[in-house]
Amino acid sequence: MPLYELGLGSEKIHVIIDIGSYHTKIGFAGEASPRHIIPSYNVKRNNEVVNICDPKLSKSELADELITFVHAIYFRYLLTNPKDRKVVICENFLQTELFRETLAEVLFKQFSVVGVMMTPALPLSLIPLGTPTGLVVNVGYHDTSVICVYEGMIILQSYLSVELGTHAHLMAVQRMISESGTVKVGSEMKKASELYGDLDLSVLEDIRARTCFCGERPVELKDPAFTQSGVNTAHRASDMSYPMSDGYHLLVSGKIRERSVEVLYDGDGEDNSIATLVLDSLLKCPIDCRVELAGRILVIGGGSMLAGFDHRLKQELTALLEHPRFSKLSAGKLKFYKPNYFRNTMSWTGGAIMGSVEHLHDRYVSRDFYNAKGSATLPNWSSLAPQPKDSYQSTGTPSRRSSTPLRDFMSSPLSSSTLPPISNLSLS
Amino acid sequence: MNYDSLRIAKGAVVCAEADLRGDVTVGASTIIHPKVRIFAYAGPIVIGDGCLIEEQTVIINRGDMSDEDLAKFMKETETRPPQTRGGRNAPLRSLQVQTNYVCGKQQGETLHIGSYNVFEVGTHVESLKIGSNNVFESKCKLGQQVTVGDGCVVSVFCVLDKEDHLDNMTVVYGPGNQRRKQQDKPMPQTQQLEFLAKVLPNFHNLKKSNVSPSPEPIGKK
Amino acid sequence: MTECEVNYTCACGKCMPLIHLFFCKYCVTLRCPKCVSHEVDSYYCPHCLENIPSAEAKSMKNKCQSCLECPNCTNILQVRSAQVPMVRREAGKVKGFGQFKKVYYLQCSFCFWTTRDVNQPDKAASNGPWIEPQVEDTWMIGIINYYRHLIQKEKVEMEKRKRQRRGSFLGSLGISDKLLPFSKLARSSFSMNLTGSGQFDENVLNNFTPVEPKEETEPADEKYYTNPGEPYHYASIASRINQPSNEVYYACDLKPNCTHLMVKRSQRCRECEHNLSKPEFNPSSIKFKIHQIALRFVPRFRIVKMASLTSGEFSKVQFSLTNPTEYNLPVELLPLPDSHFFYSKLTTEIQLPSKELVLAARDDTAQYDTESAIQDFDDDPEIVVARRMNKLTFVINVKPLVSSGDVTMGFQLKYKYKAMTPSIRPEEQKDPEDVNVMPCVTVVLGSI
Repeated sequence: MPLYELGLGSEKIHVIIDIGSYHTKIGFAGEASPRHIIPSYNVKRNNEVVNICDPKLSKSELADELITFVHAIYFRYLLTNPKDRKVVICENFLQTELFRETLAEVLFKQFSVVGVMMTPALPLSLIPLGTPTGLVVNVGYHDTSVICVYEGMIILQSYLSVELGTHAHLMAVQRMISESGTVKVGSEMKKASELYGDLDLSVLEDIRARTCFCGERPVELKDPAFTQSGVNTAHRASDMSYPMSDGYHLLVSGKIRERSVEVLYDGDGEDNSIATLVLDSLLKCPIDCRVELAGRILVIGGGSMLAGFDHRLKQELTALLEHPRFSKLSAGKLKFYKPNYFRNTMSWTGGAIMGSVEHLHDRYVSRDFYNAKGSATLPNWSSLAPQPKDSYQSTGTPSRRSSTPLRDFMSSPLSSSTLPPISNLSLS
Repeated sequence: MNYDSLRIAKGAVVCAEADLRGDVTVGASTIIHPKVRIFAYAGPIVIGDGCLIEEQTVIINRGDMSDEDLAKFMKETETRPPQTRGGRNAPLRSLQVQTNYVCGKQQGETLHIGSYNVFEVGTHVESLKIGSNNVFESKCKLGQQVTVGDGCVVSVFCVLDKEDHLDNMTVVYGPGNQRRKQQDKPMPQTQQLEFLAKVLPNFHNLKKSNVSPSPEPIGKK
Repeated sequence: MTECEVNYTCACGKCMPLIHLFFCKYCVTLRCPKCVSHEVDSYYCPHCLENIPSAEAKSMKNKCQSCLECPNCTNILQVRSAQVPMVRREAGKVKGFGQFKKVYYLQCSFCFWTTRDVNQPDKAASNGPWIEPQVEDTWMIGIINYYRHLIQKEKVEMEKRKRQRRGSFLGSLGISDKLLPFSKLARSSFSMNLTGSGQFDENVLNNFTPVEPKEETEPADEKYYTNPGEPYHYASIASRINQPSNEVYYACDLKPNCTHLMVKRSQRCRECEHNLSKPEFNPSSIKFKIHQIALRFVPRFRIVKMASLTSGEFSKVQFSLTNPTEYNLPVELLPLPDSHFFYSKLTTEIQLPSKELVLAARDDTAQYDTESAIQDFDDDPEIVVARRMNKLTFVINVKPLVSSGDVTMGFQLKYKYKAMTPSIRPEEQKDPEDVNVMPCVTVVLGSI
């Protein structure tokens, strides 16, 4: 074996996979950025596109898709044998049981990997910063989710998500283009909706990536309420002309460029926007760690790669703090992390750091153990709910003194002095 | 009316098997390969110096010819190379009997092509205004309402048929006609031009040049 | 209209065309691509077809160093040369131009992207270097080291306190200890491990400064408002994610990518761990060292001529069987066993040939050899339609039982495979043993 293959624990370098709902990040432990970012879907022979995170897939379909997907990860992208490497999976918090079980089955049975560690992606993104405390906002493709981590402990009840993300933004761009978009045809201007109807998602994505950015909060907007009607359409960005594939030029107005992102702050119709999500999440945290958390906000995810995104979020949060809904928050000063790696791969990088720390080998479910015990062995968020003690003892885990499982998360030998009062933290 | 107003400058190499009809002017050291069709149907065509026009290229001053007519016209002219007589210019009048679309009859707008342009195999050009130092790659198509600046590249199989203007240094490429700007002009193919000017006469009959080059060639650096 | 298809059943129960299947000589059974384990065999560059040793491939992060890709459209970049005048300078001022010198830059022949577009300086040599060496990420090294010590410290402290609850940073990984596989053995080796290497450096922990949050955030660049330029000035999502280590907003920050390598794979039977397929080393060779695809071992069943099918009536459908082996092969067709999953989906009644069909041996020279003795197989003219070399065309009577929908049939092939028992010493080589192979074949004859 070549020398660099040897980690300190004489193991091969682990494979880190961060499966997102739109893009999957893959690479090796110890590296700062993933080797590849690939779309999280398979393209079948008949050009049918199947997203592997599609909740509609049945178990056998999902297994088939995952086999194809993981096969491509190993033999097309990472070019390595799956057999002798451990895998770190950075997973979505609310991943379905079916998905996790199927993924584990595929990895162990089909690819015979040595060990698998499944860990939630959001808290991992704090690891490259070297901080144990932070409020993570992940702006994904379909949803935006928020979670608070305090001194290394995940405050589970602070996890919130809302269906606002890149996709919602793309739809807003589409809506604005069909409402007011114009196309230059010779010397006259024609309506984009007449010429093109609904644009392709790929075209919208390109328009978003190349023309849109996140403007500052409109100053005229006095009422910080999060209703559609309150949105001010004032903008000062200049127009851009986007060449369509047929040679016409679509005029992307300054309003679309600057204000299409408004949909994320505008709310989903139920008074939830990205900004309220952050504050709601803070509200669910114990009162004495709110100041600390509000002072350590980290915005990650591909959706937040728009220029000026966290600046706008901060303005929005500051305005919302005045709102009666959050008057009891007492959040103190808002501070943001400037990520030292790219926002869309922060969780992956966290996983890569964890994967290269060799003292964590007891965190992996090993192949032999899985084969002996089956999928029930996978550690899981939902199994954190109180269960009869003897069920743990049967798997050989030590018995515990604490009655609520959440306390296990909170027992931190390093920071016992700064521990928040447990009473505030009980699971509702 | 004189239809036979083919003017070929000295130093230009125009193969006899190329089909040039109507009022066509070819600049000095321009190379026109066999099986090229240049039809000044609705108005004159002026081609600058040092252009390289490869096989099966069609350059047509189309005027108001309908798509159907154009397709018919193209089909008719596709299989009938003009007859040559011992390397002399074929009398153009005799060629025009072959189709119902008589070139050079109307005196419409002139189709201008600048200097040092490269038309690769199978390009189809209707554009009325083309600058200099452009490259049109194989099988690309430029519609009548397209105007082209200088130093542009239209990549293989790109079809531009809408009203459009290519600014200087624009590159159009890919299946979605993506665009970008390049920094340098494409290199003039001087070596290739010199080589072809030497080699082509060995294997092909040429149309004789009949105009001495203008004292100041256009587009020369 | 459903397409006609003939599928063979793999040992795992999956149905797929014969061309996708492998045949394991040692287990004497069919294996589908999901029943074999794949392995990386050799690395090569898909552009220059150079074989790359695996150690080099790993150290180069699976990139070919000599082939570069356009960051804009992923085509291969070509080296272009240009003549530029040397600039004579005196005291920092341009004094005039001297002789011409030859410089090189990269250009994409498709979208005409050049390294000059991104202000990468021209090179004096045609071989670059085009790629800047990667700067070592000191933060990454530092932080990994920090976590190593931190976790070590936590473990040691945990041991010390004899506490059975664990958490903190480990908790942030989302795994609670009690859910982890801690057998008693594993735990004892774990604590031994700690006593052996339970050292951490307090200094590393104290000297580490995490990234600090800031109160001020950066608004979008003023350029976005007033002078956005053209859309192509911004990098597309595709070019951004193609360079995960160099994410950019502006197209002028893109860099050439190295071509990603590809691998040749070998396949291994999961059961007996024998190699089923191993390609030749040379990247441009399409030959194999070991090549046990099913097509070379299992008679191939094909539809030759369809008859018009009517519900409730027998019609004669012509099929063929091709013998891939080098000996005459008697084949029996048996009804599909009712344990097969397809049994419930059958929609026809079929009359399979009652007699054994003998397939002639495959002889590659036969088609050139006109005088070869024609073997007499004593065929039943009612069943056998034609016979050409190793292919036999015959008839099966098919009666669809449904009035509409897919017409499906199935049967089991039974033939003898001459299994060679592998032996190291040739003198001990036994005579081939006859083993019955009985693959199931399912056929969709289209719909009525």
